[in-house]
Amino acid sequence: MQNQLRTKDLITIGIFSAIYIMAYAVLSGVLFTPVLFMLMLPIGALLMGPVYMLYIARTQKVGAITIMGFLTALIIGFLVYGNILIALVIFGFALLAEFAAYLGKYKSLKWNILSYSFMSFWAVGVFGPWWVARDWIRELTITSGYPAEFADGVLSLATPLTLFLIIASTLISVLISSFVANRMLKKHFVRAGIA
Amino acid sequence: MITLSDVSFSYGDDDKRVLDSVSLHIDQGECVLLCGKSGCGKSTVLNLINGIIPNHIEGTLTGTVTVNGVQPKDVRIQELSATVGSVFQNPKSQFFSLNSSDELLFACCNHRVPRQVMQERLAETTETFNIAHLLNRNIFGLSGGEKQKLACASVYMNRPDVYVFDEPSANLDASAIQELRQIILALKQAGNTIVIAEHRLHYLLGIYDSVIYMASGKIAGRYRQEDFVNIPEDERRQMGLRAIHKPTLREPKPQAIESEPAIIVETLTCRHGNKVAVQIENLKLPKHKVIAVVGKNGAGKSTFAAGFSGIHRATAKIADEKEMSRRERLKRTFLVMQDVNHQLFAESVLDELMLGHAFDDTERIQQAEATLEQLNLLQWRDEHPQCLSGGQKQRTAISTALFASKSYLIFDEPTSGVDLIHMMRVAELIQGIKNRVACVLVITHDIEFINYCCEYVVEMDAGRVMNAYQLDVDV
Amino acid sequence: MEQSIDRAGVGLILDPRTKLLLLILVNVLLYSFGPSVYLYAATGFAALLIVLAGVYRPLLYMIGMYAVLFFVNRLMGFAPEGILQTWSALSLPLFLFLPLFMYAILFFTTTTIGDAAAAFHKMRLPNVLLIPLLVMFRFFPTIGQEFRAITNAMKLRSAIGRGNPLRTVEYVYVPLLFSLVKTGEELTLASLTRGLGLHKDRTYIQDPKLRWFDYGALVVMIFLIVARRWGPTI
Repeated sequence: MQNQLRTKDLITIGIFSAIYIMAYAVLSGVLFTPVLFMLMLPIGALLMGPVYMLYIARTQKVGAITIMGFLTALIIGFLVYGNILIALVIFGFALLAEFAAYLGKYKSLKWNILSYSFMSFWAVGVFGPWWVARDWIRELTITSGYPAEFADGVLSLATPLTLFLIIASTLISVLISSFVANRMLKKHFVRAGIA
Repeated sequence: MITLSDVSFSYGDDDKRVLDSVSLHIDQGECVLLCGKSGCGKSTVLNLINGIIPNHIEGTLTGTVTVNGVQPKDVRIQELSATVGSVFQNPKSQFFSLNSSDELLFACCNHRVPRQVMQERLAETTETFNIAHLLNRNIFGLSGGEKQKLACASVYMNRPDVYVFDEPSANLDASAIQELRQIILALKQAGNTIVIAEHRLHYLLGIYDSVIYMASGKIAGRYRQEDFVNIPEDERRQMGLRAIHKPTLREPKPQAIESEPAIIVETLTCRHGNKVAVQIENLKLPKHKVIAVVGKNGAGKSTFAAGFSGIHRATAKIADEKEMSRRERLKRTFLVMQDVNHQLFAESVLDELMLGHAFDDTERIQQAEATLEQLNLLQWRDEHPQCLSGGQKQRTAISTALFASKSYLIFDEPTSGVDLIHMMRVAELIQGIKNRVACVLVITHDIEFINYCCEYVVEMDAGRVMNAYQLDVDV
Repeated sequence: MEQSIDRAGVGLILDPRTKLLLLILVNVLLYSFGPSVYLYAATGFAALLIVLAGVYRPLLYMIGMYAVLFFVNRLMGFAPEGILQTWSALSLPLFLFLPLFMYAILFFTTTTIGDAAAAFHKMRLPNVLLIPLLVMFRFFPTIGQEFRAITNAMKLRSAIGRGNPLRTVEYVYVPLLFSLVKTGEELTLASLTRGLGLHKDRTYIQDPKLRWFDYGALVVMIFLIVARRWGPTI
């Protein structure tokens, strides 16, 4: 097997990125608010496992996950949200995901699950500021014409407990989805010779 | 221009040769038709000419292939594409762009043609193919015929000397096929070398100079055009070839006997937004008959099927013994889609039937196996449905419908891109099941197929039924 | 995910690179300096650029949506605290990130894929990124069509969709992924036989050039940033 990405791989990358990005664009549209947005992590993680695992199985080459991350960052982060910070967060998580899968030579289920977990957490870039940059969010909210109570109300939802709940539920989703994905791979795609 | 000498090929490590000592020579400017049953090796010959074999599809290749003095195995497919242009059968998967103009320029962009030359070629191609109205359009908005025209034009943009066509008419209706004929004729008259692999032969009459007939990986006959067109009907069928001359529909029955209707469509109105796409009134469909639904692309045949079956919401009054609601119609009809891949969900053929039933219900399993037996699928019961051949997939879908005791079966283009033998098998199959269901509707453009298997015709145009009549001679 | 395919408006269309740069600059204006009257001016400027490009519809939708939001916000002044909090949390990001959305809309509604590709190419985006990007846009509508065909097929199989929702997801994925993989394989052949990947580089018929209104738009945006940093606080 050649290790360089060939034209055929670039087309595979484009197709799987299209499914991945379309799913997240639809989810973002449906869940577009900070509170519901927190649900995007577990829901996204639950849905995209089969796509991601088949993607790794079909490419098996260094760079594929990074490119998918780049495209997600460009389209979702930069061109849909218009937000550079979110784009950078997405790309950063994709690099971690690539590295994890690389450590398992793209064949180890364990490392691929770790890779998928990284890939499932990029959406923290969207609501992360509510935990990390509280003052900035507060000021932004108030100068946008909202009373201070509004801002404090939102911030009161962003506690360590909610953060923990989001992370825990996302990890559970990742595991369930990876399990389903692995079973589907064996049952369908490996048998049919496309994975 | 093209020479194959003593070429054999087998896929992967397989021992079975898909091509077995094939030698042929095609002159500059010649137009050659490759024909033969499915799996006879004609597509393999095309793939050897455009370099897909052995550069993309791996296997064991012996003998030499030469195209314009070059051996395809020595160069990359992309380099060879300057000499050889390829047009494939499926419009859905051969476009790289969404915009038609980008698509035309695609090959030029890849070959690093300078901007100035691109503009000149675009202007010339637009003129030659008469496609000014197709520039700068969304490709998904084009009709099947327009897409295939665009595919040919986008290959022409790169100005190759050799054109290979792999079943270009498979997804086209009658008028689009005539347009395709004009394009191939124009390419030939411009002095290009053309190789076409096809099942549907009649539209190429008068274009090809010679015909190569293949069977099980070997060349089984070579014909000059004038000899090929004079092959007697019986012999042509023996060879497993579709009509060489354009077929005509059987005559309507002079005194049609009113047979008992299975179902009466009192009204059916389907809308796309505010536009009425289909409006049908008082259509009676006869019981236990195979009914062909014909009409041009865009006449509303598929919309009719979607409205009738309940897939799409429609204002409808449809009754057999009693009036059926949309939910009941969904329950009692089944649509075998043109792309049958979309309706296979399970991990084995048996499971496909058993979906929704307890998998340890031995009585149901026996019934399922009996259904599979009738459709000649029992030996594949444990195979993955997506790995089967096109015909087997189609039969699997039909078996799910029979197993679920559906009353109305609708087929959407069941014979697009199949050879004579497979077409006759589909015809026999449909004839075989028509008495098990109330009636069978077949949406089709295939006149040869209608002549083989349909007893009743519903003609549609612009969303309305123009005519409905019984055909002469029972099948 | 609406990208224009066959038309890009009829008026003054900015070069795609300008639009990307404007998007970066408005991020700077928001994140480095926080909201101010200058940020609102930038938002209005984006609206102006969209209108100048001859595209009105998305703007009308935006205005309608924000009018409703604004009205509800006023009403919420009378609502009990719990509802108030929830509502503000729901509507807040729509207001906070409006300037960014406007520039994203400007890019999406006034750039064809061909123009974007040529511009990215001129920005030296390599083929390993550009080809997947083009393939991706080509597949967005395909995925939608396949998804509809599959859900239609599922309607006829009453057995599917009952019971475990995870299984339903599986039933959608099996035909969808098989079909897309197959389409991808066929597209690969159609692309290779027309030379995709022959050279490290491709040519494009579009010739992205910066014109006077590109420079004009950038000057306005830079002026807003400078004014925010050193100008009067309003």
